[in-house]
Amino acid sequence: MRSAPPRPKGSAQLDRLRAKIRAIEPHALAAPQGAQPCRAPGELLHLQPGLHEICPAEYLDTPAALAVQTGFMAMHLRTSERRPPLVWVRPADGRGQDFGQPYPLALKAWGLKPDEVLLAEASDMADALWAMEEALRTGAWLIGEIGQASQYDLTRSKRLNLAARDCGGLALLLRSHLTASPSAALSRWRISARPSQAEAWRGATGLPGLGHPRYRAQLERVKGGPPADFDIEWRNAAFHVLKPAPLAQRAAQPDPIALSA
Amino acid sequence: MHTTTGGERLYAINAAAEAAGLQRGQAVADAKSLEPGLRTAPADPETDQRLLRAFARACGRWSPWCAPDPGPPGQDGILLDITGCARLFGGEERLIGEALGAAREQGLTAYAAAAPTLGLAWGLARFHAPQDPSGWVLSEDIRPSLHSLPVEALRIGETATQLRRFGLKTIGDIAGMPRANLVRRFGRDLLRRLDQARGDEEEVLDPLLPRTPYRARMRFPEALLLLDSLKQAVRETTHSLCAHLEADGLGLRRAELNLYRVDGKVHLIGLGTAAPARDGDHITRLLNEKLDRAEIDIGFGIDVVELRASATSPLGTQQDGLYDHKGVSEAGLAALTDRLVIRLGAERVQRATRRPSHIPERAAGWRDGGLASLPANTAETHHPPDRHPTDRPLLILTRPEPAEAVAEIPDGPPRSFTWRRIRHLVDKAEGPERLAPEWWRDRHSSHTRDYFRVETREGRRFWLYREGLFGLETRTPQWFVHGAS
Repeated sequence: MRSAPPRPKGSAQLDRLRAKIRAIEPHALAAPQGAQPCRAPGELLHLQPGLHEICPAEYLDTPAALAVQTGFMAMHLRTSERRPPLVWVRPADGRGQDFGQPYPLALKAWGLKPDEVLLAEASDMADALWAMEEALRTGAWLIGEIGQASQYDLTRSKRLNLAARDCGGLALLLRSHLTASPSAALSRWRISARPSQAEAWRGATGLPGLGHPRYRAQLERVKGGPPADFDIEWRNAAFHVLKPAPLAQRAAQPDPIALSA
Repeated sequence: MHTTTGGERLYAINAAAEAAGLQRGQAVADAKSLEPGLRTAPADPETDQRLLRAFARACGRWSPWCAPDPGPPGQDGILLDITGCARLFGGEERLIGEALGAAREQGLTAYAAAAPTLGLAWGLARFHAPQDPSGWVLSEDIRPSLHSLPVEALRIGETATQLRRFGLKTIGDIAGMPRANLVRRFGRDLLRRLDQARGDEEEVLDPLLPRTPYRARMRFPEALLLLDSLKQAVRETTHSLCAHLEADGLGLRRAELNLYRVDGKVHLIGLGTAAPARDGDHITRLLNEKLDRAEIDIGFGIDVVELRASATSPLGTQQDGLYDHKGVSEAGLAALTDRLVIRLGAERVQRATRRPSHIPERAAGWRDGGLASLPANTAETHHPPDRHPTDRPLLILTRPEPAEAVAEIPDGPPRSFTWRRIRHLVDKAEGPERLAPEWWRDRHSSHTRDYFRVETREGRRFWLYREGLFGLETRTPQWFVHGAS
């Protein structure tokens, strides 16, 4: 009899290693890598507890990205069993506040109760990151704006992710449109505004009115899944995935033949 | 020296000058002719008072009831109520000795006395203590020591001079006189002071620090020199204060940490909490953070640590560890708020607030949330009726920014606008929503605003307004961008 080949021994070692990792990080190896089923966009909108990043596609899309962030948070807060408090951490004194401050009267339309929000402004990024982690460790959920801070790196994001996951909380971070540095976030969304459906009956003189706000949501990366790209609409305090318009009615799309002519 | 109507005069003199025969109030020119080596400096009563106050503050280490007692030049004093304090220092003698030593270490000429009444101690310290080789006297008996004091010891100012004119030199001389006669000749004040010195009339000391029933303090024979040992002391003190509070069902709202330095300086660290707190570890953590931030100068060491609860409110007993680990209790959120406030600053931790106004930037905003739930503030929170508009932008500019807009008709929606040098084409618009200025608040220069919600060709949403009614209020209405979402 020949002795067992070294490969099974190695795989036993691998199994032991996997078991060890599973003990430390239960979610890390929940599903085997590579063979991920393509999930429906509607499912993708349900974020796992942990850290998620949201980036605007362009600088001018920053308010849109923040709106999607707020909407996401409201949707998940509503479905959570306990109503955790929400901490909103943003840099103070102008940096990253190009488009102003969150307006309490608008939070309601985005599904948040203004009374439940604790707004914390940090004078530097170290304080902001500290406040974010502190809030998550207490069990609060987090909306954070970090822009393109260099202090936010892989280690920092991992800490935030663990803090959020350990308490079953959701942390949504708004990053700048420029940054693409790696992080330990569970997913990264890139948001741009899309024209809404015109509501002719409520427009101002000579112009149609505004429909429900629409956004292009590009899921750039998600843990254990392929990227996705779809349009969403905020309606009745929830995001709805829009079906792609039938080819025949793509009025907004420029005609490639007409362009070349 | 100081300058009076009669020219420059001596304000206060030291012992050597007194020995040379100089007197207070003497003209400087006369004094210099008597003693050519005399060196003078301008008097600075304000600084004197400040120093006296600071020293009174430092006297808090011996008794919580202490007050500065400003007097004529060179006669300033500190009043201390040491009732019940002496045993902590090994007897009254040792307490007085220690206090006097501390004063002399600072280069002051100081005398002290302890007596059953404030008036008697005042007199003894000024008239008997300087004669005593030790510099202090202790009197248990009121009458004998009182009667041997000169009449000036009664704190009656000019009346003492009048008494002397009648040959009444000591208190004993007037003690036996008919009260009615004394009142008729010298006024009621004399009798009041006499009664106070004798203990027949109550005299209450007005303490420098507000009275706080809940205090915890630690005193160290060896001064603490390291921040770590100081933190440990703060920890012990906090826990002992919390035990007191718990026994009475109270929670801490505001606290003051007093650190008494060996050389007489006192560091004060204030603390406020978002909700009544009694968790020793939590409060210690807040205080430690403050200590780290304050970067206090420990100097030659800190030998007394005192924590005073300056505001408390009722707090029921709580059971620890029973609530769900993943849940956030009210206390947990309050504790988080406290920590954020300590690190970021009270004005940086905010909660939404609404005000009775329809001007958007006034109608709602953010205000200090850290201590907003203090009992004093809850009464004033006034909530306007809940009918605010729902179509406000998510982000609002604290200061509306001017934009250049093109509209088809003067009072129509903008067809395009340029904001921050970027041109946006408007595809959809709603409005106008007309908001008149608040006449009871605004000046005449403010105009009516017509708000429009617009969506650009790319789908970005902005909130613009045109200020001024065309033709009525202004000829050239100005456009502003006020929000985005």
